[in-house]
Amino acid sequence: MKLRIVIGLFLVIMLGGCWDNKDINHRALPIAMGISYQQGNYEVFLDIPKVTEKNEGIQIISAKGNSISAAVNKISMNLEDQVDLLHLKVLIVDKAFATQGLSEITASTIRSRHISPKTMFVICDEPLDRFFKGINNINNGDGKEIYDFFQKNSGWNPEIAHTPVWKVFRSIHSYTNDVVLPIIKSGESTAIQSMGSGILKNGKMVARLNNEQTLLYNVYDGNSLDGKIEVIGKATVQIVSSRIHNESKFVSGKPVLNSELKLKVIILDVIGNPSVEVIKTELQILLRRVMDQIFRKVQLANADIFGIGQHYRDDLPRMELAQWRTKYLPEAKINLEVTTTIRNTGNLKLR
Amino acid sequence: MSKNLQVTATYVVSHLGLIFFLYPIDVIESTNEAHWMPVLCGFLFHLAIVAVYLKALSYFKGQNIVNILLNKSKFLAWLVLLPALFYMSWIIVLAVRAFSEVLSIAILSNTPLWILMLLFLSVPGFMVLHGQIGGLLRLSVLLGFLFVVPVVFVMATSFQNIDWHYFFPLWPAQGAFSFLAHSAFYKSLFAYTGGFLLLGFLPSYAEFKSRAIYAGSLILLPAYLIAVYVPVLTLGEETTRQLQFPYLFIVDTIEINWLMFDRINVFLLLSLVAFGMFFISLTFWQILCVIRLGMKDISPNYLVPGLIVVVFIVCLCIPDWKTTDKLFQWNTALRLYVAIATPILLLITGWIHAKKSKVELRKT
Repeated sequence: MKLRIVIGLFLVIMLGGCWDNKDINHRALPIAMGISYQQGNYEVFLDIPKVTEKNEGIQIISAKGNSISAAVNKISMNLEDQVDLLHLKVLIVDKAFATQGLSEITASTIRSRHISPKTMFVICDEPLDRFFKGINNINNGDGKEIYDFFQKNSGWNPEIAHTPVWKVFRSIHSYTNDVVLPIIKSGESTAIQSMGSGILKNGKMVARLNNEQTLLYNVYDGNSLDGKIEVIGKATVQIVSSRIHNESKFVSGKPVLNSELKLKVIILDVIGNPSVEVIKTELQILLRRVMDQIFRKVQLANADIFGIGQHYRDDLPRMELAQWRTKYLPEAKINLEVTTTIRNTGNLKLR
Repeated sequence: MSKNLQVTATYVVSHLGLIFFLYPIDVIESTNEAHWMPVLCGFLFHLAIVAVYLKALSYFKGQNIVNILLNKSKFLAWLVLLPALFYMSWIIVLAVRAFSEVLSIAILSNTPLWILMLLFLSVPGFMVLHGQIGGLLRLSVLLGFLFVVPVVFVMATSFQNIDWHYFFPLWPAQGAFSFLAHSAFYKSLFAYTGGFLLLGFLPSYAEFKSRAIYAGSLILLPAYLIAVYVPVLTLGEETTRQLQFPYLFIVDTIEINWLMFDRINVFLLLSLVAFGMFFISLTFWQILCVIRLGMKDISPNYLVPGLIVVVFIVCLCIPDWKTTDKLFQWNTALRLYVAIATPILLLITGWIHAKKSKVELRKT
């Protein structure tokens, strides 16, 4: 009997733990947050899926404030529910903000722990109000496109960069690692349209890659499942596996990276009647040309998106490594060798 | 009956609770590169003091440290036991305060701190009162079975985003041992010295072979390395330095599509909280041992609640994380004294004891 009373009392006391609990139907759980920055003022957009019987549509709410949390607070104040950023999946910033620098918002995201470090970072190519109006179009679907667009198990494609917040955070502090962020805008026939990607150096956008270049960046980064490459005028191929082998050394004080990219592809489409050999050489020439373009861009911007400096950690003392981006990267010589194997030609024979 | 499994489990579980919170950042702060050196140095230090301690205890079969010392000389006993007592009370205060702050930062940001601290005191208090040492030893095996699977799962998946290039350079160009001059290194020793005193209290309650402890330390070594190296390999040294709890952050970045839980940090945290409570209850029990065997045999029914109230009040007096950190720093000197003096003094006592009994044996 005594024990029962004790257990009962214990349960009653434990109930007190729920004293400030807010039920799930009183929380607003945004899946995407847009942030634009103009003259010391942040404007925050929240994309909250409507929880109704039909589960359709989204609600776009925006507010202005001196800081992001102030703006979010303002939304929470004016909304009948409490805003909970726990399940935020996508963070969208406009181009002007990205060029100005994202280090502060990254730091505050990491510090507060309200937003998961796995959240995707995205740059928007048009003003955010227009973008959110675009994706709020009922004809586009159930309103969660922005979430599905970046999910690897649904809408993601190898032409789209894939960078969570923690990688941006790493790029801001690291000596040898930079990132690319996807650039999107609202589309005409689809909700969202990919516009390539932006190269971020220390949290600032310094250059852009187009969709094709982003695909090859992903290939080089070992992140390219099912990427399709068009060999102009000859064929379209699909990458089935890629391997990278890097060899780093110093030649007369300048870093030299011998990089070997091994691709296995299958042929999807053939135009005219080219031989396998022709497709192979054309593909290699194309890959080398595009990669050289990217390398040149990277060196011009001093942004090490490939983590080339990582290979020189053993050769450079720490003080020198800190100057990797400015002193060594522009002088680096990257010799790319591409070997492709055409694994099969599909259901049809090729000469 | 020998209780090797229980003692090994107790040893491993009580240490695991200390490794993943404060330890990584202390090691990372102590040096810029080659973090395996401070980790290994700390581990060797740990092995050395444990070896000396176990050797010393082996001279006295089935006696615990309090009885051994009090039988030899009162002065020597208090030279060892008083600092140890002070150290253990200090550790309880810090552990309770730090664990509740971590919980507050990581998951329960709305819950008042004092409730968390009370939880961290009342549950271990209950464990000690109800289970005594036999119960605690058995509990360690249960905790092992329950929580080792999620902890190992989280540890394994935390390798998801590592870049092995960050492992280099293996040997720093200059100042390889400069970490020895850094105070953060001595602070990091906390994870090595927190639980070893317990081994001296066990012999009169549970028989165990020293092999069981060494086997346990082999399980701990990878845990020490993972706690430091997974953040460094994922983020790089410069970025890791910015974080308060690097390992917890890394666990937050893990992405597993097929798992229905978004943040697997919860598994790790809850397991570690259980381990932390276990560690606190063990320390409570050691304090009880010293007071009851060495000073006055007060019933635990009064002693444990009394201790809880005192610790709780002290914890309430610590206003912020900075003070907690400072207290950790100040604790270093005492920690080193307890970790070094206790085993060595005990070993010397053991030597003299062994010599004396040999002489007596020859006389008869």
